[in-house]
Amino acid sequence: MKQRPAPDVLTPLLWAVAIAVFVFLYLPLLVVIIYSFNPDAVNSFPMRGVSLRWYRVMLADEALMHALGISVAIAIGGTTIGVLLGVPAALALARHEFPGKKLLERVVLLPLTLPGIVTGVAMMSLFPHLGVPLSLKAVLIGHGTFLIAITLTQVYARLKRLDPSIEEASADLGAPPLTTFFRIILPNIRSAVVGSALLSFTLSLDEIPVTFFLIAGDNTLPIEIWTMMRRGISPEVNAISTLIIALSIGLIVISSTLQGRGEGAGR
Amino acid sequence: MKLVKWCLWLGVLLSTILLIACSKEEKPASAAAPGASEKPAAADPKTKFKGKTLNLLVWEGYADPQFTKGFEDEYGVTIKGTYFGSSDELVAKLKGSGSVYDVVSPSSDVATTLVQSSLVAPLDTAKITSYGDLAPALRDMKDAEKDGKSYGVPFTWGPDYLIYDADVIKEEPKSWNAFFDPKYKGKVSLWDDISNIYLMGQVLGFDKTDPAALYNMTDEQLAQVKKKLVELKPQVRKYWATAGELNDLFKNKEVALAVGWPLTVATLNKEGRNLKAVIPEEGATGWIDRLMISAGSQNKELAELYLDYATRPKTMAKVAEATNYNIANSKAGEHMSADLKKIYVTDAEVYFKRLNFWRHVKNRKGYNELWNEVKGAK
Amino acid sequence: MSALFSKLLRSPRRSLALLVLPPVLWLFFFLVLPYLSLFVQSLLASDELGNVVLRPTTDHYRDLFTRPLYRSTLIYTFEMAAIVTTLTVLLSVPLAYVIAFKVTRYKELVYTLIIVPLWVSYIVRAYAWKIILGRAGILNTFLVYVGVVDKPVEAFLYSQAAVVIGLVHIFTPFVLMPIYSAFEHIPRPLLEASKDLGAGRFTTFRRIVLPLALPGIIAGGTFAFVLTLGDFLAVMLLGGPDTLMISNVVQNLFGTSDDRPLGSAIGIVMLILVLLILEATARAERAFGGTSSGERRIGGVKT
Repeated sequence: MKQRPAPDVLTPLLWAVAIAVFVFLYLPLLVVIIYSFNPDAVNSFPMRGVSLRWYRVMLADEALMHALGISVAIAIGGTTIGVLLGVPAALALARHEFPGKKLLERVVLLPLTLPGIVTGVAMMSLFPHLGVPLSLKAVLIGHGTFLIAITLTQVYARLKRLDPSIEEASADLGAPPLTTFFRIILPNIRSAVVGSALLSFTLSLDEIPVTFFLIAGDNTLPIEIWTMMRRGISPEVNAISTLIIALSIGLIVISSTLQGRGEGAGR
Repeated sequence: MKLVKWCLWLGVLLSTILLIACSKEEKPASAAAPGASEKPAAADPKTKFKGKTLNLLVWEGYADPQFTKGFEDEYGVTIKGTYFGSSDELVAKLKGSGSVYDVVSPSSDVATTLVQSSLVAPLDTAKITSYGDLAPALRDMKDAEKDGKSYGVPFTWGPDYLIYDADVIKEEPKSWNAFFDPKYKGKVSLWDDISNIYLMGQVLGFDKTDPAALYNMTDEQLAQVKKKLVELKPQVRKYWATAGELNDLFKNKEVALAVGWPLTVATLNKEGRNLKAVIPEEGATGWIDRLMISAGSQNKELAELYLDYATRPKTMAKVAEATNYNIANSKAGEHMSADLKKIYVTDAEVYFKRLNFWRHVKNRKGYNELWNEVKGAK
Repeated sequence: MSALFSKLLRSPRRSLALLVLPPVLWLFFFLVLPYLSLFVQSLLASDELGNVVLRPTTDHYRDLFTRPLYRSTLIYTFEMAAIVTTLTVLLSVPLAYVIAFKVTRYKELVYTLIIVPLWVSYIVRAYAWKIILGRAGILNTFLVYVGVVDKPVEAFLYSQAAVVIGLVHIFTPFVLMPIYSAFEHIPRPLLEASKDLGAGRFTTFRRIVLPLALPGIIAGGTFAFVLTLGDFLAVMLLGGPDTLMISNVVQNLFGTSDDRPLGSAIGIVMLILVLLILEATARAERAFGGTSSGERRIGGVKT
């Protein structure tokens, strides 16, 4: 027998809280976007008009644009290293047995699970002794190192879902291992590789703690913005932040679309 | 498990070996005299450096295009400035990546450390055309010399004085104790640096008989200073790490008084604000900045040319205008307006005598620890 | 060329070696060795000028545990981590619940919208709070403008509150993801059965949903906790004179104070603490029936 339903207080309350949290997550970003059009140099309410002034300043800021270029270059380089080393490692873990397998799994994840500052100071302490002084080269190596885990985990998961008998069949039919790789394995892990490449690219663009300790000379974009903030805020930061927000949304849309297509085709 | 242990031991062994190999290797690659890396003087200096970048690791304001542009145009190079927020930061950065930077601007407190640690290169003062015009009081100081060689040229000097927002504080504060005034709770800002220890030392009168006492405090004196600094904490809104941050704090009306440099007053008043500054009755500490060349620099010849350029009267006049700091070359007065000339040339000597200039602190590690403890005290 | 390569790869041992050796070598030199050298460095001394010398000592560890500065800062940091973790979980659960159970159309879209802030740079999000919370910032001028207060509220910025707000804002999407994922994986028939048996909504939540989602909540909470322990930027941007956290101390020791051995000691202690926490929460998750959180935490992309 059904009870008389009590007045529904819970659901509207729940919705209210959920929406409040949603607003909390978005409001600051919207504020930054809106205030990037602020004609004044001080961020006060209300905003006195609309202006593209800070976008002009941002585009003219050579150091900032240079830093953007450096960030993109390092992101591409780091992603490449991560993919080139992550795919073979994933293959080894998924298809072979060898001593130290568990150790490898644990170790490769360390930079992602430990606070960035620990990884950063560790690398900062040793890299110069390996012949890699603090510089963009060090940053590139640092990024590449922690990005390996991204590709490794995604490709490994994909490989586990792939039926190994296809590869065995290919070998039985006389195909050399390289051919098997390029014609059987690679097409099937393609979506995982692309997905992890996109994710790696984004993570590298925004990486701060490890980069903070390895950098000297030229800055990456987040470090350059950080330096600008330390030197005194120019609302120019609002403009570059808006650009970053737009870029991030764009990347997610691309990533989701590709993922959706990939999953559908891979069945 | 065995494999793990084996790998760990191997790794510990390797990293120990590497660390050993490198604690000996601390001397930067090109510690040899700058002459070794110079090309024969046949090539014209004005063209042979075209396209190169000169990296400055300096205090804020020292890479201002207002005066660096002249050098860029004259030699066809680009000047890139990286700023540091404190002397200790400079030393740490230089130790970590000495080969990236060419010119550095240490203050008098770390000049000796840099020279003793071989982090900077000796200079050929004959190449600095204005060397003879630099104020003798600064030029002949011994802290930047080793084995008869000079390692730096004096560049600027100035105070760490009390800055206040004259729109908020109508009456000029007379003493550093204004910081403790309950009226100004949450409106004070101090520099995030051990120089606060010197400041409190002055407030407590430690330098009344011997100026050097500030830099060689006994444990008991340090304990007293620490007590006062922790007492001051509730009054402080934020410790500023860079001059730009202090500019920001005043600009956004977050603070009404602070200890700072003339650069802040200059920058904000140019934008229409009304900041004033005063040397309180207890006195103020001061700093003398030099330009030095990093021992690991790959562009020593170009760096030397920059040192020459920066000390010329015309350049120094521009530096004074941009930063409001006092400059080392009095001939710069010929290129200044009458107002500027009065401050920076005529009154300079008197002003110089009023400041207690930073010196080498033997117990720098202890001072740093104390400051960290103040920051960590809750 | 390809034929030669194939010949090399023919032996399964060889092909394994070719696959595994490059990543392993790279990781050994650029990952394992740095962590180990951090450990070795923490046991060395430094001289007057701040250079590391080859004299073994356990002084740094002793200082770390006895000196009030380091002890109290570590405790303060744990307190902050606890506060941030609690708040992020409290904010994430309702929102995740609503999306998982109450949103019928455009669920993917809404979820993606939640993830978007995650992909926006940390520094941008921290900066946003700086311009909102300042004395002459957007929130204060707004409150004064509409008359809620007569003068700006100082405590908004450069305070513990500001750091907490900033960190909660930045970490909530991280925490929300595993919780949402856990909610999504609860078989709907279970909920229907519960309703059919006469259980009210709250009872269903308490006895079915919550226990099943617990691994996800633990995973999320762990992210927030560990991330807060390692954070130094929020304090530098939004914190005041009283908000020093342990990572700031490490950053200072490797920078301005130039005492690498002591900084390394703190780093190693943090490393061990974090590994212990991760191990403990992984066990807790398994006890409550979840999978280890290692795989799910990678970005917003489903694995």
